[in-house]
Amino acid sequence: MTVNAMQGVIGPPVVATEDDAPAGAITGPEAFLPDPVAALAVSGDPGAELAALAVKSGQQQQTNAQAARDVEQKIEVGEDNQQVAAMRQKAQDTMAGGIAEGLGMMSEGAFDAASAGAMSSSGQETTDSRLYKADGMITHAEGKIGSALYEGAAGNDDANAAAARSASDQAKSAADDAHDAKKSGGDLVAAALDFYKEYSSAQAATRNAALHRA
Amino acid sequence: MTAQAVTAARPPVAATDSGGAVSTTDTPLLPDADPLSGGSLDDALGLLYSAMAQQSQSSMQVGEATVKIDEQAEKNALADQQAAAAREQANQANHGRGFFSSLGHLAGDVTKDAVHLKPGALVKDTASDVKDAANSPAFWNDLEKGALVVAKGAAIVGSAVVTAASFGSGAATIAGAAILLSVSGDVIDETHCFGKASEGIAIGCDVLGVAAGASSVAVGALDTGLNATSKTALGVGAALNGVGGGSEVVAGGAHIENQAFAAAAENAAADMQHAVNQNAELTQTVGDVIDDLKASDQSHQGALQATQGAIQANDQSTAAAVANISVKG
Repeated sequence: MTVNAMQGVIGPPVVATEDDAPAGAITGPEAFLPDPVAALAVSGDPGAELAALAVKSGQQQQTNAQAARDVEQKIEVGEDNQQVAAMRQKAQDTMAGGIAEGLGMMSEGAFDAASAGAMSSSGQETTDSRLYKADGMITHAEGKIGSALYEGAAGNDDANAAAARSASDQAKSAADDAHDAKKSGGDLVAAALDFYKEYSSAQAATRNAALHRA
Repeated sequence: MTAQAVTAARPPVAATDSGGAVSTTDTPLLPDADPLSGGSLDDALGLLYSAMAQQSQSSMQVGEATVKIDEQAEKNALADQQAAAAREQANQANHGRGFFSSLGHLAGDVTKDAVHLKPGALVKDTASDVKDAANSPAFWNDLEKGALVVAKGAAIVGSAVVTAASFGSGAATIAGAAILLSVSGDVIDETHCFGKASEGIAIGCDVLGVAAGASSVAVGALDTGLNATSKTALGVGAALNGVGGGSEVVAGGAHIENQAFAAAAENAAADMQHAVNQNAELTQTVGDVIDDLKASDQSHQGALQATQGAIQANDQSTAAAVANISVKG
């Protein structure tokens, strides 16, 4: 009973290979010992059953907490990536806004120069020069509008990045909580083992004393 | 091995061979051993103890390897973070030589190489200085600002000159005042030389400039006919408008370049954030692995102690049973 209990608690069951297994023994991935905790739980020994129950509970808590921690850490990584993606998007929007406004300015400047060139020989404005000037103003305004749209998008990108940061922080906090829960699951298992160790020692001492008396 | 050590320390007991026949060491008085008691159980416990110790060691080695790999990855992430921070800094608008500094540097190099008659160095230094200027955010920032000021000034002056020349000498004086007011308003607005009052003063100058411009038009309407000076002034005004347009083209190009630097800085900031996140994730992973290892090690230690206890308890029971049988015998 002690062998099974200890073996089961510390990790995966010890398996026998085909080479060193005696004829008729269980081989392959199946354990050559039955599930110790399950065996303890139905042993009829109240101390053993209590210990088995606590161990099972602690193990379950550890498993659940580990799964929760993995999920939260995946969420955290995903949100971190989204934050970075939003920042990169903002860089693209900044560039696009700059191009829109810069082209608008260049266009207006070119039309202004064309307008100056289209003035009459006496230096007075002509229909063409006025048209060029108007075209310049229109393209400048278009550039400004385009730039403003991209600036708005960049603002949205900032908001998205901040939201992702916040979600990442929340996921991290949840992962930390799950980590703590896993630790307390381990503590429960350790406490159950300590209890069972004491319990077994006391039983052995009683048995020895009885043998000595006999 | 613990089992062997424990076996050596206890009195001789019966052992079963594979066929189940009893083989005795000293005395034939001992009964047949049960499958999971006495020496068999002790051997099993010893094997289990050995397996547990080995597993504990393996877990520790795997954990150490994971921590080492993660620590190396952390170092890489830190290096990435520093590189990204440097890139971000290098793309800031105030980084590098400004417009006049770049021109001064270029002029200095050209003069020095020309004086020392080094044509090769002249070409090389010129190319290097131009490249540095092109890669300097401060250069493009200054160029955009300067070009915009020139464009604005040329447009205002050009338009005013054209207006003044069109309407005669009387209007020209008023138009000159209008120009002065408008340009002053722009300068005050750009430099904020009057502190908090700058904005109000600039608006005032602009309003006065517009009023003076309108007056010049009104005065000019009374005068008719263009003389030679007026015609020249009209040409100059048109040329200034053309210069203003050209400057705006330059400013537009510089604006695109500046925004490219800004975008590069934001990309670098994103890279840095990515590295920071990676670093934090790796630190967290290392912490988790170490915590898990600690817990696992503690559990292993507990299990090993329990197994030792079980071996000792079994030995004591066996010894007591032997003693009891011997006494009875």
